[in-house]
Amino acid sequence: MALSQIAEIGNLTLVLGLVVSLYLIFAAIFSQRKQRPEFLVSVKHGVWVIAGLTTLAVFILEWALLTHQFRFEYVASHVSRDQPVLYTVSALWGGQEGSLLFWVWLLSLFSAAVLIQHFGQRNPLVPWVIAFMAFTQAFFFALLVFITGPFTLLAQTPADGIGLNPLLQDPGMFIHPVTQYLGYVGFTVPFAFALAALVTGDLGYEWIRVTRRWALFAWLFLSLGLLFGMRWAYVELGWGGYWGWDPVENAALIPWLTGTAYLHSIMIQEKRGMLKVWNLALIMLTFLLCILGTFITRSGVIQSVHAFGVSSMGPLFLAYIAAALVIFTYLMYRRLDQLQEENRLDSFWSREATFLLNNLILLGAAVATLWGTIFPMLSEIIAGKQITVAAPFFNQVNGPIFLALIVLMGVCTMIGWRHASPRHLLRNFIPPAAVALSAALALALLSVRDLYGLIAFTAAAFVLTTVLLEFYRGIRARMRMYRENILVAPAQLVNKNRRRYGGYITHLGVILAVIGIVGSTFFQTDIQKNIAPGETVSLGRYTLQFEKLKMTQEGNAQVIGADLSVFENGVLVDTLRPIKAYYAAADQMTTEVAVRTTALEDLYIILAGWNDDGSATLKVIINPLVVWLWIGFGVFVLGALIAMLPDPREAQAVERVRAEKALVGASSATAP
Amino acid sequence: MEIFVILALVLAVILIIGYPLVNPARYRDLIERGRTSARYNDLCDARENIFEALRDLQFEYATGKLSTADYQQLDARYQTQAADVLRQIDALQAQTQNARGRRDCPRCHAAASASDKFCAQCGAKI
Amino acid sequence: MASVLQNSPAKPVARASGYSLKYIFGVIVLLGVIGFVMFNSFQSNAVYYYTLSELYAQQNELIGRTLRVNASLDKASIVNDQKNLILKFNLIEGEHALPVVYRGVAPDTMSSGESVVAEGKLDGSGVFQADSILVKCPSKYEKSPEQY
Repeated sequence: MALSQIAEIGNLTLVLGLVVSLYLIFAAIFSQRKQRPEFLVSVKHGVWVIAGLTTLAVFILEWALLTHQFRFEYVASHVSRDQPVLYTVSALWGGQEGSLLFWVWLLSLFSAAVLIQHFGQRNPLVPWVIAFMAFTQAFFFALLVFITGPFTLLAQTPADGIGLNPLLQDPGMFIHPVTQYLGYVGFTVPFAFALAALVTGDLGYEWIRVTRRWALFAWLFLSLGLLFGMRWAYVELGWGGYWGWDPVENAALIPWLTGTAYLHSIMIQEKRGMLKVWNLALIMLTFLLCILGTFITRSGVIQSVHAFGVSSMGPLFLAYIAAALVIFTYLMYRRLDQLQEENRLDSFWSREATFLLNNLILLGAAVATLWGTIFPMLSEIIAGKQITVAAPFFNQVNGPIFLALIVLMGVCTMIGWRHASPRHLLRNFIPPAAVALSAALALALLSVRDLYGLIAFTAAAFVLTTVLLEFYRGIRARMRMYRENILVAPAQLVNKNRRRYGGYITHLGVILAVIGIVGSTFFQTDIQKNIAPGETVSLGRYTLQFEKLKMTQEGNAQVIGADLSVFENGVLVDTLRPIKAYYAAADQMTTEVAVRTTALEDLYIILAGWNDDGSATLKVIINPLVVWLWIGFGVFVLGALIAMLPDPREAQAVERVRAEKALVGASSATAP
Repeated sequence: MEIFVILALVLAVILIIGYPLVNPARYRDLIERGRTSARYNDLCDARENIFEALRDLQFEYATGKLSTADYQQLDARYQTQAADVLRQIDALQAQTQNARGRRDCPRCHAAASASDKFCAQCGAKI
Repeated sequence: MASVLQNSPAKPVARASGYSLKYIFGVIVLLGVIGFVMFNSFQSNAVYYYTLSELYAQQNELIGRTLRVNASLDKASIVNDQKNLILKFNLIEGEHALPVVYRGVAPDTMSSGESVVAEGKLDGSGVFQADSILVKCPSKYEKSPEQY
């Protein structure tokens, strides 16, 4: 088959995808309104067809990338002959058209997953869920068909392509977009279920039960997206940090914040039947922010309003967001009478109240970040003048907000549901407060002089103690109640209540990450120096001796590195080689830093430049405790995974039989 | 050649999606069954939630976050709620049993005869 | 607790209006605090975007204030003193040319840059002292990460 025919088929899959998506919206709604189940079965087939079509489209594009079909415009601009295979594969989501296709592909797979999970149970929410997901699919198909298609052919075949931006040629960038998109797309499912619940009026447990796990899944991937993005920025961008509050980073953080709020407040709805409207609003907000995030990431509209002009996708994205917002709000308004609170807040001193506070604070952080992120665009539209805020604004606003959030995290674990008795609260409060105070004192004696750093570390110590204490009390209670030994009790404690203790482990991870962030933010030191071979530069306990410059060819890049010997307190401990790589095809330079990581600090070295006389300019940074950020993330993910696992069937069955026996008496006693 | 591939693809899509519409009678009871099963699922979820709340309550009492009076009050409330849900589940089961003349195990959904007191598969009370 | 329990007589019923004034008050205070912090640091951190012609039109008032300029990069003017990490270049727009000085590691994309966003202050001698620069490339890469 000729190349043009393959491109033709690629385009056809997208057009068919659009047509079938539109049909699905109609058929799914029709099947419910007119009670025509055969259309429902047709919808089911349609979902599989779309999954097949998008998979075919992805397959064609990936084939074109891997076999260097440079007549495809997308291939020519994202792949070059000397590019490693790994980044040829990842070029699929490295560009705008490809990543939109990737989006719609994930969405079609998720639709199929929803069907596999729920169609067998004949869940009445599912047709509406599929209808909305098809609506979203139709939107992305329309973008691909009418605005920016991945199968556009060039008039001639170029000899070689431009290649993926060298900055994106990093393992972190291979995995980061995938996790980010899994998170973004994943939130479509809980939103669709919420919408379906509003349409059908089945606002009971069903949609919450279903959405909780999907929301957790999407949220976990958003977290992983943040992690890989930060890691990439740290090792690849070479400015010594991992978070710069740029619009793309913020776009990923904002839905994570609202998603976190949702995961907390949904517990109150499950346990107490409260905050129903609030939870619906949160899931809507999170989903729309995910769409906005995709848009910001893909269009570059905020970073560079001047340079790129208004992207043609902009109005369409805004129209989609507006449509979803209006439909959802209208449905919510119509069902308000079914969304009444079933309980009231009993006391300020209850877990519900702390959750509510946590929600407000998270939302505050989200609003502040969103405000700072889109303000340049807003001010340009409204006043015709772009006004921007940079990192200091975000730090000043979010710093205190996050500090409050951390303290609250500790308070929350100490307080029981409904109403905490002051006596118990005081008893629970004293040990962590004592630990926190002694930690503050010890740090002050160790001449930690930065006030904000000191406060943050104290808060971290406080929360860490409360979480550990929670585990200690739980283990002790289990040992007493079930006569388990010290080895079995901890495992069983987590195993028997995976949601709660998975959550605590996640909190533990957050605190470790906070320690890393505080350490590297407030206690970073650095030095810049130009040195000739044989000379040294010193920072803290380290002395670096510059041996020589070395030039090599590696893959598609020319690499210049500075060989350094690292002495710690005068003892040779390591040799490092920070490099700069020049990619001729893209005419671009990238910096690869050299990092020596220990539990206490990272030694981070950037080769800033070199001169003809053989001297090199180095920037050396010491980032204290930064490794705990990555370790914390690991613990965090582990906790989230534990919370996601279904409760063990066997144990549940035993418990249920036991509970049922216990309840037989109560049941007969209250029966009329 | 190209036109055949395109035609084949379009035709396949139409066939797969259109096939269920040819014989609508086969799917008549799908919607009614869906409604019952959704209500049943909802009740089961409610039951699980209350049991979990009970377990949580017990545990929180054991770790010293609740006073005895609060514990007893909440415990009694959850017990009543649980009883109420269990009664609704029973009613729904009796209803479907009458409709279909047979029952499913509430936990593993294995078929059970009307006279069974316990599920043959998992041992749950029916 | 849920719709399935709606008819339960045992369920304690409290309607949405049950939130007392003191909670609403608390929420308002909290939102007020967050809003105040936001507003406050926004005031002190807002940075205005200027084109070169706008900059030269009000040059005297702008001296010493933090601002952002966005203009084309004159590649021939780039002087990168790597020993002392001082980067100098000119931004051009029409007949205007603005000399910029940036102390720090030059971004990798500098040599292939087309336009530059520089944030910093204009000093008395008409030189722009940049605290951070963001280089924009002519390529099709949708995502050109920010560099400091």
